[in-house]
Amino acid sequence: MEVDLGNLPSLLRWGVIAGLSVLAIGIVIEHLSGNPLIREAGLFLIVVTPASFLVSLSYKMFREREYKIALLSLLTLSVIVVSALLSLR
Amino acid sequence: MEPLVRFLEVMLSGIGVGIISSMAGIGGGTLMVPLMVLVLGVDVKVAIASSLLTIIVTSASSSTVYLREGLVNLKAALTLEPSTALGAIVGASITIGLPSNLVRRVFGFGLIVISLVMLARTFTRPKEKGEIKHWTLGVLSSFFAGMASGMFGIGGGVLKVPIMNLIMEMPIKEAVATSSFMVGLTASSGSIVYAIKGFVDPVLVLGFALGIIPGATLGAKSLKGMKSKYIKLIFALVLLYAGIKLVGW
Repeated sequence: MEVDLGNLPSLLRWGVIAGLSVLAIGIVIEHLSGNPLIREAGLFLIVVTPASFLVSLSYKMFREREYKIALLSLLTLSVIVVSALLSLR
Repeated sequence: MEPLVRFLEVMLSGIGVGIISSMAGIGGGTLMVPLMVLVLGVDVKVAIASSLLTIIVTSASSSTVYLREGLVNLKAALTLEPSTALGAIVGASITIGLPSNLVRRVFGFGLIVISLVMLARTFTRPKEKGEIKHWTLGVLSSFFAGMASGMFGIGGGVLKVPIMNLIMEMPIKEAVATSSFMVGLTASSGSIVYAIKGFVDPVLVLGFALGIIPGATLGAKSLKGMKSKYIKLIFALVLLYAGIKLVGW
């Protein structure tokens, strides 16, 4: 199935690059000040990158009337979100 | 100075993993966890968790290219992924609940199974063309590939590619690209469970991620002229040895 994704795939690459950059800064800051907040933000960015790709993909697919792909990506996203919620318990 | 030395040590290991995994044509997870445990002396659960986060980075890098080139079968990936992600969550929860010593042995056993799958694949002719079949079986098998990913901190491509190529009869190039995309999503589901429970070592994630990407490029360049079949064979045997060592036989 040929689906035109446009610039959407770049979201994956730039998402993890942003995550790694924040993580690197966060590790240094934690080492200097003991504050883990930015390091945690970096890890969070990396973990949510695939999920944010799925959100954007489903939005794009709904707009292009590719309902099957849109619903499947929402289903995958819901499994990931449920896993996060269950882990918090 | 000590954290910097450790970071450089991890990054060099990452370069090594990148070189070997791209030469063997597999994701880095199967090599990363044994390396972290047996060489860097990291606790097995921390190794698994950190490996999964690193896999998100490496998968994002490669699947961006595959998605742009239209090689990823989105319908297949998103049909198989919910059960795979569910499997990853179940696998991660099982690993977290077990004592580290037992996880180490279970991981070793899993590594033996994976190395045997790799050995079998070395001698199996992949399907080049065909129409996708056996969707239900593919979805069910994907659950177990996801479970292996969540339990052992691997991307699971070593199982996903044979499921898509040999069971579902997806052409091999499409299966590799689709698996590469799915690996990031599966690793993301599994890693959420570990990250929330605090098992991730950020220095390992950063070091391995920054090492694997240039290492993989270097490995791909040095692969020219070498027979990948023999590299895969040697790699499978090394994994078999690592598995036996982790089990403690």
